[in-house]
Amino acid sequence: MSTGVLGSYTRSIAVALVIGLGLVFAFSDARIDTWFALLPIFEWMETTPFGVIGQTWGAAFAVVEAIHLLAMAVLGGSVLVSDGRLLSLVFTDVPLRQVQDACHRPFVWSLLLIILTGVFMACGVAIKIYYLDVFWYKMLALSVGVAFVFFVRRPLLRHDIEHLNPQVLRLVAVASLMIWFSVAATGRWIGYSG
Amino acid sequence: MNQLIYNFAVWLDTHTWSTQLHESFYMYNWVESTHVLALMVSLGMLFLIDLRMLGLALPGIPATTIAHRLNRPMFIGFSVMILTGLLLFYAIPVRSSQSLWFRIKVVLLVAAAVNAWLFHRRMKHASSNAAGNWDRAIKAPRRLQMGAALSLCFWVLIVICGRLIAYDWFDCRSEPSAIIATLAGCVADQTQF
Amino acid sequence: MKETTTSANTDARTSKDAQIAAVLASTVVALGFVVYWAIQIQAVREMLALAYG
Repeated sequence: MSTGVLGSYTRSIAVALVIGLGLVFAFSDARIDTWFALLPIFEWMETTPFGVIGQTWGAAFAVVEAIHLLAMAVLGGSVLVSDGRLLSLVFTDVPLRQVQDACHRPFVWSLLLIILTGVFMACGVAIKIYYLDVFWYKMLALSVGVAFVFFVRRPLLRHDIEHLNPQVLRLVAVASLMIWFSVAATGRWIGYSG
Repeated sequence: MNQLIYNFAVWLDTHTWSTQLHESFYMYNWVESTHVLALMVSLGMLFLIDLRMLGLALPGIPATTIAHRLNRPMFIGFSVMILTGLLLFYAIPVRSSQSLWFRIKVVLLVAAAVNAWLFHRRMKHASSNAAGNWDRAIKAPRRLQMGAALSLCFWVLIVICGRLIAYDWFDCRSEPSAIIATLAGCVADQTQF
Repeated sequence: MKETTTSANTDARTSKDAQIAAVLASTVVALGFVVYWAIQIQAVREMLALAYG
């Protein structure tokens, strides 16, 4: 197995770079400029079929939101079980790799459904959420969550579990729970804002 | 019956705590948020169990192991949902008791509870059966699959009904048709909504 | 034999890399979580003080 482009610590360096760039972006004018640049897209979203349906038929919006919640339930369940296993709270007699692999498929499918229904709902209330800080925090949490799962957690768990530091696994599990709780809670907050 | 329910709801509405909860700055929102977020625990566990029985998730892990291990967090989640649900009802008792969607939701909750009880009974019977080697099979026996599928249907409808409670299309205040008025429990000459 | 040792060393290095990346990412996530929710809770407390005195 060859090492990466940046040597033996490719992933660590890449994560550090992404974090650094993210912080620079967050505290610079680029963030505001990007926000302004996104306005035409959000205005367009309300004119799409999704947007028109969402604004016209409250029942359609409500049903899609309910499906969004149900998908969240499945995602929440798979996150709780997989992170619970990392924390040695559940299924301690089942091999860790088996629990992680088993939880990954429902996680991915529910995530896809969440994103699909989320886009539908966003189109219905695009301008309202564009001006809501909590919406952008939710998008940040969601992006961090997806990146964390596919670029940090999964690659970590591909290695031989016996050679991984248990404290690292626990830290990853706690961070994962924090991210997905934040996604859910900020999502709920959107409903109370605006 | 509708008059009885209406009288009880009006009585609840006279409570100071009911009004305070309804009119609170944040408390009602927090109770509602907890009710919704607890979904991820209770329904999350339930859906994993049901999907396992249908062979759609968590393959390779024994089905009864999943059912038994996830039972406790599931019941903790449901306890939180029942408590917060009761508080939400207590905050706005008249409107809630006369909401068609709320009534359908309660009927579905009862049906889901009966289905769950039957499911667990069948699972116990299937486990004690000499031919009970289904635990490691991809799918559970047919009757358990049916119970799991019914459970999924019930809970999908329960969540949809719960979401639709916020809409006032069939509220008594909007003078619905006679059938809807009866089903929703509207009372003639009612002064409180 | 030599190839097995080399492969094992590479696995150990990539495993260490994955763990460092995980610790880095998880720490930043945890810090961000604490800071964000502390600010939100403080804002709620201020609103409650304004509303109820």
